[in-house]
Amino acid sequence: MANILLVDDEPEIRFLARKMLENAGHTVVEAEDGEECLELLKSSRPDLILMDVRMPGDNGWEICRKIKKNRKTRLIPVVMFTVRTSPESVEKSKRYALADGHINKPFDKEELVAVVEDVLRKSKA
Amino acid sequence: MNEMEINILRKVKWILLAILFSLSLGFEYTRHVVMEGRSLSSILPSMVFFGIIIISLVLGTFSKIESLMREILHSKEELKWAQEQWWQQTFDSMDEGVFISDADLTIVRANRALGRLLNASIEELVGRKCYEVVHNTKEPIENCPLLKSKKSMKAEYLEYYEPNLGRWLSVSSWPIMKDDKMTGSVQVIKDITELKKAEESLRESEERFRMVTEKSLAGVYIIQDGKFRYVNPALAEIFGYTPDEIIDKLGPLDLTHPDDRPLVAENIRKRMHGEVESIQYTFQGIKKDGTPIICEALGRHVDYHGRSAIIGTLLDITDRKRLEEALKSSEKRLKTIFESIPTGIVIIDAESHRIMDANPTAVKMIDAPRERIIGSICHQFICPAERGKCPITDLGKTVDHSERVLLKADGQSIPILKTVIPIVLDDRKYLVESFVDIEKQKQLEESLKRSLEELKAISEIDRNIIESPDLSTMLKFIVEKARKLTGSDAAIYSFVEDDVIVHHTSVGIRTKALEKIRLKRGTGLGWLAIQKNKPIVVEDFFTDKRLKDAPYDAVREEGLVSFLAVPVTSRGGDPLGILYVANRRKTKFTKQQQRALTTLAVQTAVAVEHAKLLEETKKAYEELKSLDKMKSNIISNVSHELRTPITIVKGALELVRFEEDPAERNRLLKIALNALRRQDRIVENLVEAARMEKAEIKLSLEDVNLAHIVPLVVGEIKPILAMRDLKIELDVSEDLPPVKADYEQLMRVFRNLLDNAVKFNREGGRIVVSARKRDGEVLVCVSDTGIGIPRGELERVFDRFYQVDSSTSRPYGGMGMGLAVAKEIVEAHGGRIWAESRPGEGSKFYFTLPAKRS
Repeated sequence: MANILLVDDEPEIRFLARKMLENAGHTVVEAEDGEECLELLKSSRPDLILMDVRMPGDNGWEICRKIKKNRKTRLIPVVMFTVRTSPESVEKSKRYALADGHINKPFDKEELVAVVEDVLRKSKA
Repeated sequence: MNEMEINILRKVKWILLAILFSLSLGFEYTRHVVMEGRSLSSILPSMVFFGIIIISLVLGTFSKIESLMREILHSKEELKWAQEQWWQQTFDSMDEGVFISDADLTIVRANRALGRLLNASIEELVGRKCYEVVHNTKEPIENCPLLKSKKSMKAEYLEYYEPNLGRWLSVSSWPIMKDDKMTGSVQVIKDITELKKAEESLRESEERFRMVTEKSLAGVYIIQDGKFRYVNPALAEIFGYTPDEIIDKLGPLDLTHPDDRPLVAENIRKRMHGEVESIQYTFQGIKKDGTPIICEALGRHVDYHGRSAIIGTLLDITDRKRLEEALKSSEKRLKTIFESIPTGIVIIDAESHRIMDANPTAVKMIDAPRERIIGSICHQFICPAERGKCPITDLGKTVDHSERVLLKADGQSIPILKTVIPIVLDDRKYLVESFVDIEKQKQLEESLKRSLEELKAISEIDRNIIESPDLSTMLKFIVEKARKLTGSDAAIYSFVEDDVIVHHTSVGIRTKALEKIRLKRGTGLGWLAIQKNKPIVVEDFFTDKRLKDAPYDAVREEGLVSFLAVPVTSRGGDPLGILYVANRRKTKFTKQQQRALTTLAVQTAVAVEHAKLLEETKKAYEELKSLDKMKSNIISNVSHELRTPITIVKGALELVRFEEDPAERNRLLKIALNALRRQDRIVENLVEAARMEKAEIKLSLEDVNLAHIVPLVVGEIKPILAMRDLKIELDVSEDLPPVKADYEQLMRVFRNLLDNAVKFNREGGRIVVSARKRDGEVLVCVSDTGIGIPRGELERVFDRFYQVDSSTSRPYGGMGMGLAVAKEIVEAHGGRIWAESRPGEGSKFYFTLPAKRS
């Protein structure tokens, strides 16, 4: 059971992803954009952050990097959640944003849950 | 009486005797025999007697006569001898050689003169054949006058040259006639050698005179009694006559021009009266055809046939006068050349080495008074060669265009280029030395070098234009060249921007004062150069009256005084900038510097234009590149945009499979449906945008009521509005007139604007759609309460390819397509579309449509 922060500007995506994660037994907190995400992190500490790349304002990579560069939040695992499927984007998620995982859109329910749980397991170890 | 007569007398005696004897005998016979009848014998004794008496009588008489005669003869012979002596003496005393020959050409008598003439004594001559002694020949000579006179019986004369004697002789033969028969002849031989010589010389001198007068080119004349007594052909020809037309017919005044007649008449009178012996003078003559000629006459007073006359010569000097004139002018020309030629020329007498003449250039170069130069010896004076070692006259060398040294009066030597030409004038040798100052040559070389440098600079600039497309680098290079080429302290390039000249690049500048100058149109040196469109030379920036409102303070601060400004103009004649060079001390920029800077300015114009062109090309290239990038961004965007609804559809359907709650299943299916509609809209817009790109929108216009169409579109998005918790308000007045529009296209405009309003709204936000009539058109507004659009982006949201970098953030225009399509459609209807926004508060999209006129 994990507490997951879901950051995406598309309400439909948020609704669907939340449903899938909740079905797998996790609790989900939503944020509309990076700004809201960072605001939430000040008061709460989720077990994992699932973050879209393309958002109004700072994009997911920038937010992720900020999280990872912040001593307080750097241990929170972040999974990038994007339609960018090119090898460069995957590489950028890892190298630049220092993300812990990567999920491509469109996603399967199983894949989503599997990646999230895999990252959670690794972070705990 | 002579011997012959005596002989005759004797014969006469005997004849007379015989006659008397016969007559007396006959008489006696007749008387006695015939008459008396007596016999012959009877009378014989008386007859004998009678005969004897007669004989004795006759003989006695004759003897007496004879003796008397003899006596006479004797006395006669004595006389004759004496006479002979006298003759001989006379004979001998004659100068001419005389001899008497008989009919056989034998000399019977000869005088001493002959002996002298023939180098023989008289005894040797007499008795010999005359031709033997005179001609030393065996036969008489061909035209022997002696023989001739023998034939003609007249005196004959011959002059001939006797080669034996080597002299000219004249022979006169007089025949001695007796009873019409020539018995001999008298020859007088004269030595006429001297005569002959005199004759010859006379003839020669006569010939000479004839030659001189007849063939002479000068006219020769004799004037007497106011008429020409003689003129030679030359004189006649001078005046266009024949001698016959003049001699004894014309007088000197007939051949004189009326103006000069008094002069000629007076001159003739003076000599005729012996007042002067001779006069030489010039007068104007007149030819037969009236042509005036200039004559020079020299005549003197002479006695001609015992009376006063003038003999003289006359020349037609018309041509000479003309020649003299021509010579004078050609000499003048040569003199002018000699005086004005910038080459030093010195004429030296080759023998004495004295300077005969020097032209002003040479005088100036030698730098001594001309009087000191002329007459000086060239060695060690103008030429460093020592006496006896002159390369030309002593060493037999030639000096032709070679580099030498000229000594100046102060002993200084200057390098010259010298050519020496030996010439001969009036049998005298001279050296003509011509030389030029090589210093000037060097200056020329220097200027050539500078020109070459200019050329090099230009070519370097050309190369730089090609090699360095960066304008600033180029201009830096140009100002450096400008400073170097003109040798000035500073060089500046300023550019023209609308109505102001602004500093761009400079070298040799110490302060920042010039950089701040902004010259307004019509002020300062820069605008003056542009206005005049030519190089402007300013010797003193602070006193030059041509400058208006010049930036004196800045220039004073920088410390510049003298300027040269050249406008840099485009090929089309537009001012691009100004190229200046300047000096800190007062100088006047030369023509050459102006030329150099002008050349640079032309190059600068090319460079600036080139760079501008390059910048434009670069810009166009960048645009093209960004367009290309946009295109790939669009593809990436499109795929992203398409993938989002797919993700939604896929996720929703996946969840539906395990959802048991029917309400929740319904919700998920609605979500999927909306996502599909969204996808459809995206595809539709894409297709529409692509179509619009190719051709204009085809509208099928009809009356459309906005009050009817707006709720329809709003109805379509209701589920999404609910999903996002958005509220929508419609403010469309019922009395709004219908608009002329394409129904489907107008629907598309509303859909796109509403999609946009939904997409960028905050959850729980508000959307207002309003429409009202305004000045014959309908104004529609779709407003949201979203994040808004930055001011700078307002225009660009309608750009078909507009988007903020998709890699960093979500584009405000979504795909960009929706708003671009809306714009195309509205404008196709003759309307306008625009956006207003306050970031953080929301955006308002307006569009107008022409209202249908009722």
